[in-house]
Amino acid sequence: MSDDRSHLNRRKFLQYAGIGLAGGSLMSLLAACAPTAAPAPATSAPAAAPTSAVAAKPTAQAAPTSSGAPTSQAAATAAPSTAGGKPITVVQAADVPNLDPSRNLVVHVYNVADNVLDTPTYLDRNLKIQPRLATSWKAVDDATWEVKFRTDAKFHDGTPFDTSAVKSSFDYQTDSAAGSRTFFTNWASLDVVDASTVRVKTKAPEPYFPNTLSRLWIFSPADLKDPTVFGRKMTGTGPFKLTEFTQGQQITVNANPTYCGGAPKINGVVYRAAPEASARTAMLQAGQADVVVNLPVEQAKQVESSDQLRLGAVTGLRGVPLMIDTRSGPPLSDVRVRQAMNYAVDKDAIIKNILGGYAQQQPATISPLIEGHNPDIQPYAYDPEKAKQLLSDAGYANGFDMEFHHPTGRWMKDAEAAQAIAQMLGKVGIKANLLTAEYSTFFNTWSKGDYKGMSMIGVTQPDGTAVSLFNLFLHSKGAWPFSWTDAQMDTLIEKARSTLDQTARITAFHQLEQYIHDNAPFLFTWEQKDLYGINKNLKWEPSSNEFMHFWDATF
Amino acid sequence: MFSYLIGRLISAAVTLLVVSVVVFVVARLTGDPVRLMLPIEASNDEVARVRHDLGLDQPLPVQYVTFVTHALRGDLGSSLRYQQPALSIILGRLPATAILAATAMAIALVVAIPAGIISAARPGGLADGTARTVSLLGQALPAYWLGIMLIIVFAVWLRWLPAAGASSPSSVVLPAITLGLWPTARISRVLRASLLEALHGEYVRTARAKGLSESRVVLQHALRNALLPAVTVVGLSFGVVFGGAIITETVFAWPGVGRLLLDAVSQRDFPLVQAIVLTFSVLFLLINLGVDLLYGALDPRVRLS
Repeated sequence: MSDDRSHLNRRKFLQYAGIGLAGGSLMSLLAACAPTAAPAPATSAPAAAPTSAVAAKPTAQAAPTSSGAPTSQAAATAAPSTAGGKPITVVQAADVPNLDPSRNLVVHVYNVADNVLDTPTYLDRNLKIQPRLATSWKAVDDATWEVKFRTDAKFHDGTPFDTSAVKSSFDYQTDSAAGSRTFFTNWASLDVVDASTVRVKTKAPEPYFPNTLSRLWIFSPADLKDPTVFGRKMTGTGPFKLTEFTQGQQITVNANPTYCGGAPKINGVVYRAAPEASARTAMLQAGQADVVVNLPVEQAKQVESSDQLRLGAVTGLRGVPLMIDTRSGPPLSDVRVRQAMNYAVDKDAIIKNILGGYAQQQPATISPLIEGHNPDIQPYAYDPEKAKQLLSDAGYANGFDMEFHHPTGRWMKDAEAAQAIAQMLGKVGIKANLLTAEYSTFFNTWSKGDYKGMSMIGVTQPDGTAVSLFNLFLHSKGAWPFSWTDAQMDTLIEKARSTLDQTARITAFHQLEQYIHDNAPFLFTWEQKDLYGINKNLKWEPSSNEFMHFWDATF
Repeated sequence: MFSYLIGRLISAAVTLLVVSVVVFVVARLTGDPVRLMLPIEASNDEVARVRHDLGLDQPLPVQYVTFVTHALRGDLGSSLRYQQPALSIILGRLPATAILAATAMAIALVVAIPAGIISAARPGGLADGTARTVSLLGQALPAYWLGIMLIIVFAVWLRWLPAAGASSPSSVVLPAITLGLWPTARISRVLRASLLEALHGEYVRTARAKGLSESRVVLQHALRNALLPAVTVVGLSFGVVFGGAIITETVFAWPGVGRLLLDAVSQRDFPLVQAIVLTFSVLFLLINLGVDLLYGALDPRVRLS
């Protein structure tokens, strides 16, 4: 039989190699025709794409996301500038499986529900409490609040709103299957006084009662008779009516012209989902979207430099402290060691070089936007010499080994920052073994308390109060197995969270924050900014707690 | 023939049973959906309560038996997040994946068959070299990277096509190209190899001796025999394409079952994951059976028994 394989001689080999290289590099070259600005990550950690199952080659990935070329191309065709007639298209990072925010406690569901349903109060862009369906609230005594509601609100199906809807919504949101039950653990009861008044009895004094009110969604009693309806539709009293819910594709809401707070100025909102961050940004650049959420750092820079788009970089509430596990005793249970770890890491350098400047240091726990933040606390300076000194005082002049757990692709540059932190700790003798996992696996193991050493965890406060952070980690009766056991800490926390007088409460929080800073239960890091890509023609700003309210948006 | 079918169906049922056990156990080993569903502040009591409500605190064998008995009645469980029957969610999204897979396979066939024929007709030539290199790249390039490249070039720069989503008929083009590249490569390589083999047959020599034109020899005589192995590969590629759709659908935000699966896995939505894996398994088994039957029908030398 004759040989049907071609002879692989030198000429043919060069031919194939040439074709292969040309073809394979053509696409990369096209995309990378501008000089790369962002440094490629040091290891093969996948670029910020939380749901990707395949790790991309780092060099190929770094090139397209930092190119300046796409934006100059985009300038050639104008972004779709729209008068009030066209709805806003919003692209979120995940699909909405079900519209019910009391069972689906995720921000992409909230962002639909919060425009269709009302709550008694809400947090404005500066995280100040504003009235919404409620008109006023007052503390009748230390454990009772009285709330008065509007009388002119109507559900989208025409039914008038009254406080019986508040009661049925409260019952629904606190029943045994509702995840939202957790928000109301301090409420003993909610009773209707008359058609526009309710009374809430709390178990312990609750100074942040108005903030808790912002979590109470007001559902339509008709919907609550059959909650399976939330897989298809939702009726509320809100500024927008739900008109379409095609799972996996889009959700459409249209302006409610008779909204009691004044009709929205835009026609409506179309919500879509694109889990892949590059695809989201591409939709924005191609004019397919007006707002996209969760831009990765490299793409944020691209959007910033575009003429058609603008970057909404809001000071967010999401911090990523590194919790230090003191259960196993020294070295980590020694405060000098923990302080040394704080001195060893140059957080400003990480923020500037890895996070693109889109974060600010958090030397304690409370965000500057939230009441109780102590502006006098200075972050631990970058001082490796002091770190070594403290370690040696504690008896660890030769350092020690430690586990360092972090997820990958969950928070802004989490894996890259962890690597940088580990490197810096290494320079003072602390050998941090990096251990990573995909977020669900990470969170599962972490929440059982199985991680020793140090763990990166993301925390946020969408209701604008600092209180639950402490309930979680720092109080000895906290929800987590890591809980800090320190009687002084417990006293400070209990005092701060139950003082009804505002001035005294703020002072109590300041003391608590200082105590936390000094005792360093965490390696303090930063709070990342929330990065939104926005069509320049859209007059709208995101809020700091990741909620998106569209009733005051205009083109 | 009949006994062959019965045998195949029995082995398919056994396969499905094994698949169901594996996906059931593995999913539960990897994590806890309840912690992910509740706010971070939820106490361990809260978590335990919700876990009990969902029936997830029962021993695994009990949960499995419940699952199987319901499945036999057509009830594949209810998604933990959608709170709807898993099967109806899947059936709602299956058309989108089917359209994408069919378009990808159509592109693959339209490109791969001529490419395979030309390669085999002139082995070693420039066309052959190009086709084989592109094939190699097609099987090696990750869909994730290729998809994003296509989006940047065709959607952002040239604005010829939408970047993502399924909002217009032209939305299927880029994902179908991304998804279709692997089967194109595979089919063209297999066709080339089998056509080269066929062209060495005695009957081809005879046809040429009879004075038939080369194109008639290749297309009418050799190709028919060469297509047989290709049919098998095409059928199996369909199955692979359904699986590969997971990444392509995620990159392009295509509203199909692949993206649904990835989302369900990351949220540990066990009932949905199980239902999707079982549905895919049934599809693969049906496709394999169909391919074998087709092969038996096309090739008189093969007797299925």
